[in-house]
Amino acid sequence: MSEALTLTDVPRLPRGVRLRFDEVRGAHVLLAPERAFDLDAVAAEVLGLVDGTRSVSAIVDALAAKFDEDRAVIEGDVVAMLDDLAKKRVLDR
Amino acid sequence: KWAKPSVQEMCVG
Repeated sequence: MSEALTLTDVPRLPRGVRLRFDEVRGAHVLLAPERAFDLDAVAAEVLGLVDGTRSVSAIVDALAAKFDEDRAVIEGDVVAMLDDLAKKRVLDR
Repeated sequence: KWAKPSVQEMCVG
């Protein structure tokens, strides 16, 4: 669990952690027991692809098909974000 | 447009 996230990992939200659209904020939030995280639109796009079946690499593929950005840039940002969430224990892999 | 995703923990008290 302490190793860094890899492209072959298949991330999923642990029991009790939910991605929600907050009508008041007009933005997505990640809700965990006793904790909550504000997400910007890009972070919400990434987490929207976390379904327990897609690998990190597949998530990057989907985002690279949607956004006009170099795949390597997307990969670096996605791995850093998901790794951080895994370290905060709001993402399983 | 793609930008580095932002995740900010909120203070829940």
